[in-house]
Amino acid sequence: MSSSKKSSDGKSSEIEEAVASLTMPFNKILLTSSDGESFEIDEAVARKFQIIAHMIEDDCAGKAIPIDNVTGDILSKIIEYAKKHVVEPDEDEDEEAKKKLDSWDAKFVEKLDLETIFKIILAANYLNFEGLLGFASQTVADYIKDKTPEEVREIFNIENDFTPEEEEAIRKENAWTFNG
Amino acid sequence: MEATKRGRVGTHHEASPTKLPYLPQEVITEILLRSHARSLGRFRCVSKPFHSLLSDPKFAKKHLDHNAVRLGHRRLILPFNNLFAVDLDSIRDGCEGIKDLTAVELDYPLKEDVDFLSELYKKAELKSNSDGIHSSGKYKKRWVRFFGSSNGLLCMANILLLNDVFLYNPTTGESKKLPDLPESLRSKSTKTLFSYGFGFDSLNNDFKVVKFIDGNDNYVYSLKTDSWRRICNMPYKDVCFFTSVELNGAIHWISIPRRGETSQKVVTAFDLTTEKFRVMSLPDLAEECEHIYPKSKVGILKGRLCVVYFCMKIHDVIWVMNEYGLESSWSKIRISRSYKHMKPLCSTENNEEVLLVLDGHLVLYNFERNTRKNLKIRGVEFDKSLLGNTYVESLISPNSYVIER
Repeated sequence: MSSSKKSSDGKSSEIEEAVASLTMPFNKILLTSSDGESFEIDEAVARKFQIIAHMIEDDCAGKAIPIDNVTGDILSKIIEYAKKHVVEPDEDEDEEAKKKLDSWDAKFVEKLDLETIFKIILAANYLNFEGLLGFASQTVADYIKDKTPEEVREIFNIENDFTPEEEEAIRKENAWTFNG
Repeated sequence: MEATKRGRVGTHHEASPTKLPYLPQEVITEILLRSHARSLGRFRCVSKPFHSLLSDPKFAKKHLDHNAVRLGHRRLILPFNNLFAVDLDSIRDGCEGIKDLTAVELDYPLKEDVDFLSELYKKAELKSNSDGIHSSGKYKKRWVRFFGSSNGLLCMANILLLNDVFLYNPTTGESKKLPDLPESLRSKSTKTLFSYGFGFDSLNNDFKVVKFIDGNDNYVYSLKTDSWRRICNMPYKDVCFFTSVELNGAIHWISIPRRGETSQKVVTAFDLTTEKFRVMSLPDLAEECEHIYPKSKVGILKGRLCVVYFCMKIHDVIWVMNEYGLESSWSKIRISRSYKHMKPLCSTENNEEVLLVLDGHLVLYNFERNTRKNLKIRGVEFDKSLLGNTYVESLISPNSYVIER
């Protein structure tokens, strides 16, 4: 697989790419996790990760890309999600497809524990995979909906820097949040 | 966990789960943006940075923009003896499988006025009949009037003393009383009948309240500047509307033209950004009504401007303007349950059903199949005087609303 040559004329390298993609319709990209696991995926799927899409644009994507910050188990989950979401159905045009995908998404997270979801969020953030980052963030938002401030501190490893009096004052101010 | 326990969950903590990975601040912010307003209010005491973020008006606006369209963040507000809020979450799936809705009583300005009003009514009643105490209860039900709900805030006033207007966030309970019209702007007119409208100017990120006294004395209040100013003349005289709706950045209501012209009513639209008026003709409402000049109100049905009848007779038609601004696109929708009073509130997530207030009932109406279901609210019995509004749960603070562009 030849990598496209850098060309001074932007337009002709575009044409080169277009011709290349016609002759090699399923350009594959190899991702390697931090613990040495390899995943070969279609370029279209890899492009869901903005960080890789930029590398491809800038011609610095070789055949194999190391993903130093993400372990194999997490990377495989992310790729699984990306594959399902290569084409996002238009809500207005294809309601059925959107519903099916939403249902798949729900099942996808159902099986995961919070630690895994956090790791996925960190990886999606690093890879700049907006769709999964948004979806996983929403999942955590739903999870913490009814949690107490103490539980939130534990979940996000946050130090309570209020004095007991200060905290009490704020709770009073926001008494409305403890009803209905 | 005690407040004294600071920092990380240590390994000596008995039932401690595995310590979760640290999330960077920008990721935590993304999570908070997707959380419920009520949860966020609770999390203000988590830490100082949390408090600072969750009290920031910029964050409140971003949060609102993120969640405004999602059903789970919308609630119903019902003025009936007190103010009740109802989560619209439970009607997510439409007509099937709905349990009774639960309502929560709200804290709001004017709550104390209730007693003042009942006293007034009691005195009036006692003069006319002896059953004063019993009938004053009737009037207690609707003493608060809502003039609009927009971007997390409601505009409300005491139904008798329309001079006291409040901007109110039902989620946080925060409210702000609007300043009086300054002397310099006050008209010489002795008219005491005026109308209010409320909406959001999205270009300038500003909440605005309009006050119409007459064709010549019209004012707008801007929350950003916390002040009133005069606006241009209305094309119509005797503006007195009780119902207005906000759509496409403009406030709409039905107007009566000046005398001398035809008495054909129109819809007037006041653009919140340009602060100019525009007029749209109505369909021939008499087609479906006994009256030559039927009384009607505007509403919003499935995102479109609509007109419902309001003239003490029974009707089974709603007029909908299918294409905004296109007068020829007015069309009739017939509903299987006729009404004397009706107000569409909001659509369900699947967009098939619409929640309506219909003659004192909360009805979930399916326009595709012409079926309906009456919804009950646990513990509250309404009657024909029921009215309602929807609102978005938000952290928007009317008292500290400053957003840089």
